Amino acid sequence: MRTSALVILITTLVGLVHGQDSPTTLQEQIYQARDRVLPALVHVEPVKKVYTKGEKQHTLVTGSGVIFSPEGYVITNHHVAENAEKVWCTLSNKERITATVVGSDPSTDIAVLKLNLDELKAPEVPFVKLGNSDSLEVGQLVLALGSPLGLSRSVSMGVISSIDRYFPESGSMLSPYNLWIQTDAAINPGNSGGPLINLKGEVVGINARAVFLAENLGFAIPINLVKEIAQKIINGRFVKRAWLGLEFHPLKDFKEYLGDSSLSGALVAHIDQNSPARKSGLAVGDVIQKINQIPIHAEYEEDLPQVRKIIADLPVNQPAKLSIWRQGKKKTITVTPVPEPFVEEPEFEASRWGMVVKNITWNLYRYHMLPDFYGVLVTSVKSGDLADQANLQSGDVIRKINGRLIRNLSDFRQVYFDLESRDSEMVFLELRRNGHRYFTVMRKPLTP
Amino acid sequence: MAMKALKSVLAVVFLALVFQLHAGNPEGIFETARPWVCQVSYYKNVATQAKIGSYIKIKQHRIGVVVNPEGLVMVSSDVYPLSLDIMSGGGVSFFSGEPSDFKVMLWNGKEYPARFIGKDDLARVAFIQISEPPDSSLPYAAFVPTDSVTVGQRIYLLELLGEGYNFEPIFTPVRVNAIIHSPRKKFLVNDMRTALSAGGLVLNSKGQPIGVTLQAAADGGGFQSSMDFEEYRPDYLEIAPSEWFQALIQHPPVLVKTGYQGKAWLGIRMQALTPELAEYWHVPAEGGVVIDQVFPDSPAEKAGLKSGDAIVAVNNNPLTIKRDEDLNRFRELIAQQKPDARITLKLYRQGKPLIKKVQLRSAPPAIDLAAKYQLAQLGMEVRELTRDILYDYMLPLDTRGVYVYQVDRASPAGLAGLEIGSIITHVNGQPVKDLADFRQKMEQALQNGGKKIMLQIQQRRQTAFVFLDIK
Repeated sequence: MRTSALVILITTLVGLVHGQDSPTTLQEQIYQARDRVLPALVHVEPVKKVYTKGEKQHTLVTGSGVIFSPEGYVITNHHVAENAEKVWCTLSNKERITATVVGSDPSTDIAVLKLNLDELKAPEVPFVKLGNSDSLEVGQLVLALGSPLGLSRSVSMGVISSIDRYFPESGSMLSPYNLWIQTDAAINPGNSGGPLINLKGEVVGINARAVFLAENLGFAIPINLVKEIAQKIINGRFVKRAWLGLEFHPLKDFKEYLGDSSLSGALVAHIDQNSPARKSGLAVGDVIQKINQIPIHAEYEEDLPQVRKIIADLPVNQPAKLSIWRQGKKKTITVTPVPEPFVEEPEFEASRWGMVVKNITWNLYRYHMLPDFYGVLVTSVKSGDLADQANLQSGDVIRKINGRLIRNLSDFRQVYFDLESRDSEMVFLELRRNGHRYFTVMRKPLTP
Repeated sequence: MAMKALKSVLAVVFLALVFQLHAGNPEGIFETARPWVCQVSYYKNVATQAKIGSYIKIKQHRIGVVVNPEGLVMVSSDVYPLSLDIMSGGGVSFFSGEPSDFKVMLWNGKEYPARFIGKDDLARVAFIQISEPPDSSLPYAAFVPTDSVTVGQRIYLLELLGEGYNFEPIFTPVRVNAIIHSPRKKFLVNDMRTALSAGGLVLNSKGQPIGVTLQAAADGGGFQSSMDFEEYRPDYLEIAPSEWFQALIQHPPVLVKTGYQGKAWLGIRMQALTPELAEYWHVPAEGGVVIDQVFPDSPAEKAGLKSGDAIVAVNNNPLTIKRDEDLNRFRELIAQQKPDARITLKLYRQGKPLIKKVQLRSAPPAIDLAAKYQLAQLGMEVRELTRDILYDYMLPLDTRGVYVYQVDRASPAGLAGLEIGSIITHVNGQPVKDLADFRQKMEQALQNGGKKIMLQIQQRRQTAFVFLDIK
């Protein structure tokens, strides 16, 4: 590792000294790659709506993005664009215009913005070509472009350290459907959403993560996934996924346990109680070998995102055929995927009640041991206001209001506006707190 | 005849004189009471993270009170931190083993081995018995009722100093500064120093034992929000009156590992009946307890109690609980009943009053007391599945398996990702019936000599596989 870094450094120096002599020196390649992408680089400054203790506030954050079409579509990260009320974009020529958020996908951390081109002085915008992330190699030279810590139009260089980094679902590294490109090119907060490019000037990844207190550990989303998701976002705002309710364990352990090295497929470790898979007769311990004739391989945990993606891409409400291995015997099971039950939507501020709510997520569904997918999460409670007086706490899940089932945010909104338009004084809430039922009543002040 | 009468009158006068003397003479009180207190030493066993089944022994000292002539000694219940039943909730005790090597040193410097008898978390006392007490009967503290104790009265504390002072007795005259009546009677004494140790003897102005000192901590233990904590600033020394434990001295609780008789138990999860909830449900009461959840196969379920019921009176005594912080009052009210008591609850269901008779029952034992199986070579300790776990995870009562109580991180179990709190439901694809069955299946699997053991586990609602490497 040390040696190769040293080699690169030397090569770079050689390039610097002899750059003019040969057009294919490393330095020249870097300049060329930079020139292809830098004009399309965007310094993204969303004005975000955040709630602290139920109080709405605005913060200005910084991220990066890259223009990838003549219509002014910009790719950035979901975590850059989420909760943005307004997005400012500074182009490479330092022109500052606004953009709108077209859509966003939390599961892959990808968002698409559209520049408001009518604000632009120039007749057209520069844009880049999105490359191919399947042909990447460990050790390949790459450049990271973006605005680390807000320092716009920065370029850093490194190699690809890994092309198949897997993060199990935990904390903010939630990425069920993809592996990550790891690079030692300097990536800092603010680089998020910026392009990772090869020396041909093709975008091969979107930088998204750095590791706190670590050095030279940056992570980018492979561009092939970005292209697919961005297209889906442009077509329909949200990315819709199919759901069977399955979780898998790498098959390698199971094969070692069985002493059978010929088995292939994905080992079913969990079947959700409310899922189509549960109804289909599939069992924990089954090995899924094919889905609609697509062979399934999940030997290692790095293979799991691919399997999850194959399932997520199944057409919903159309029966799918699973070829399974069950204790040595082969079977076929038909199961009909349904749309993924949880949709991430922006928070909703119930300002008259002094609280902010949002849709629940998988983690909450599991943590609270909910019997179904219904409820909204209290994310913030304003001190001294109605909800606070009723002892509502952030983290509570609201399941019913005045006896009406609250399935999701739109149910909540409807009940909220309904009750606000009427004079009823008491709002009775059935909650889940730390997994257990809890009742409370909000007493609305009489409208004068 | 006349002579005899005179003699008895004289005897009465003499006795009265002796008490008179004591009453005005703290020295005499100290001299009389000194033999009643003793020094108790034992080892606290703290599980090491290094290896399942190994413990670090830490020597501890407590004050004890001899409570009968045969050598029964009463100490603070904190010597035995494990929860006995699902009601007592002793706290997180994953790393706490059972105390061992009890010894009692009497006033005369003689030391005797002793054994642990049992404890009562409500009275906050535990009992140990001197294994081979001396032939002569021991001087002991005969506790008297505290009805006549009033604020302002002179009382005496007889405690032991710490190790630095060789556990010498310390005798302090104080006055009762306050009497707390709710949730339970308690005396408070202004006391800026920290109590030497919980369990010190408290004597009235006549030198009669009336109670023991408590640890300067919030009643009931558990988590307290910072605001509630204010009320329990340890500026006061708390004294438990003899009524808390008098009956226990006659019939000390006996810790039997299997078939432990828990405290009276109702079997609900609850919250306070706030004025807002009372108003919404049209419950005409000054407080009470709202049932959030009725545990399956509990006295509450058998009596037909339901989630949303508001209990407003127990045996015709109205409840005044309006804040969740006061729920302990209800817990204590139930726990104070005889385990087989029949109680009458007045409750409101959807605005209508109802009377329900409930046949209480002993609380089921907690996981801390459950039978265990330690697999040191794999780095795991599992226990018989107890009801508290099933209730907490809202799992059906016929759930079969064993509970993962402890895991060494760098062991085969830890490396495979086994986590504390999981329930192991299958070994190598075979369902686990109970602890004995698990033990048999594991021993068999280890003998078979494969590369891996496949465990199927359940964490809350989630199932997963864990493959133990046994190469």
